[in-house]
Amino acid sequence: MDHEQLEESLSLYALGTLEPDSAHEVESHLASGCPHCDALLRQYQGAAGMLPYALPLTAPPAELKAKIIRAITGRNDPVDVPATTATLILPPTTSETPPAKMIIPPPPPSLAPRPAASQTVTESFDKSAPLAPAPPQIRRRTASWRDRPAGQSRALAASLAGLLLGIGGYAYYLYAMIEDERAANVADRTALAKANLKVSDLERLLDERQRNLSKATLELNRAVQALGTTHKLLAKHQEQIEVLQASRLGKPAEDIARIFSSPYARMATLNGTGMAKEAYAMVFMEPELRRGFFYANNLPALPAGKTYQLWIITDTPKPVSAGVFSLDRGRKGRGILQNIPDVAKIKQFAVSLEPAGGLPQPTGAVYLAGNL
Amino acid sequence: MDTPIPQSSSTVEPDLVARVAGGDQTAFEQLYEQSSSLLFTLVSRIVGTEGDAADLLQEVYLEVWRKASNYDRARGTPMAWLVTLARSRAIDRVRALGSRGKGVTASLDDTPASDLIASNADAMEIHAANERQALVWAALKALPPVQRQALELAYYEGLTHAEISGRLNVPLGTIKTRIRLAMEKLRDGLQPLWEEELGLTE
Repeated sequence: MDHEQLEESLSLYALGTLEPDSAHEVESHLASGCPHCDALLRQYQGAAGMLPYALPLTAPPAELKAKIIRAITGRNDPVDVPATTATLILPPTTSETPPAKMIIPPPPPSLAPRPAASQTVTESFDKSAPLAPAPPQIRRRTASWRDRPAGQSRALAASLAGLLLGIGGYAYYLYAMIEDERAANVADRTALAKANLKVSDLERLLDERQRNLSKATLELNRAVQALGTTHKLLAKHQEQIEVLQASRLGKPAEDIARIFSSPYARMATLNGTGMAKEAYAMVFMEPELRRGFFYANNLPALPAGKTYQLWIITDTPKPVSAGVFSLDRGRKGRGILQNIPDVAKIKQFAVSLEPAGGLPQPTGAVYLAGNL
Repeated sequence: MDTPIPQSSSTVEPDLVARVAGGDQTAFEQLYEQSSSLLFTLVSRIVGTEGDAADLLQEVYLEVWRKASNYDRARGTPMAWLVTLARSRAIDRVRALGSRGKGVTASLDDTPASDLIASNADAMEIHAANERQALVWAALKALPPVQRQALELAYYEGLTHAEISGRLNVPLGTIKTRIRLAMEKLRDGLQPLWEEELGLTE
């Protein structure tokens, strides 16, 4: 094949209907790096990829999705979370992200009591450390009792001497000893009482901390609950936003749907005049609703201060304006037609170039025209 | 006329295919939601029965899951890639079985405009796909009948040029010319649609 033939084969190659030999030839030509053919092929592939849209859409069996997901994950259990549920919980739209971020911070403040409480509890346990030496104090006292035998023998010797000196001396000694013992006992008991006091203080502190802790836990639970409610609210808001969006988009789309689903729908094709040979347009109409959908392609870009205006030519002498339109970046113009005249009386459609805003009657050059 | 028509949104984003290639299952489910009706419609049309179409579609999606990294954004829209893959698997199947889809000679003329709005499709999908469906349908309708017939037999039925030539009793060269001319017109008419999908006109 020469280059012209190769170029001609590209559309058939894009459709996948080229014979294998020719297909190989096209492939090796593309592989050799021909930017012209490469770009052309991409355009044909783009067009071929659009063709299934002309068929009436049929959804696959509902169970097919779960079957495929099972096959790719190798799992036997049913699909757990459908993607739609996920989008409800985690708002996909950027405008929804800030509220989600704002809602998540509240937990830290309500969570705060817990770390604070546990910290003071630990602290109070730390404070008990200085109290620990208290028992040794008592033990030291006890140790002095254990020393008793040695002291006693010494006292005995002295008392023997005292016997010689008189009963009174011994009595005094005994008294002094008892008094000593009593004082020691009192000191012990005071230390004990003091220790007991500290323990009960500690217990009270512990109690208090535990109360704080359960209070914090309660608050935490409440915060978690509140968070759950917020999530639910968020999901509900998300739903509302989606419904609103759907209804906002819905209006014109519904109109088109009604036009196309009507068994009485009519279609007119408009062809470009000498002003715009490449241009074409289509008008779809629903006679009972008196509504229509208009689509134009390949019209020349509008000069400043100008607009395209669609005209309906009926059996009356004057054309009726169906409205003005401009082009988008893809050089497409489109719109919804309302209050169309009696379709039986429509003979022709035309598009002319008019000053911005349109005029009651056509004045400019006609770019598109077509009969019904 | 002053009411703006929303831009079609139910297309597959190239980034979504990249996520599928990375093994993202949620992305894969999303891709399935966005493309399965179109692919099922096409595959059913080619293989003839919906049962066979469902089996075949499962194979196609498993291949998509394994080979998503093969998709090259520079070569076209994700939908065009999916459509090409599904269509070639469907044609392979039909050729292997030596069977043809029913209604081989059925043309879009047999498809009333009302059928363009599938009753069982998701409402949002209808909104988004509606305009595109209408425009592609209208672009095909605007072709000269002999060109459209040849193109439909090649594309929707997967017939070879020789098969079409034999079926219509028209020389092979004429069939090729008819399909080529039809494709040239569609390329010009539909370019804004797929360019929009690739975000080239944004």
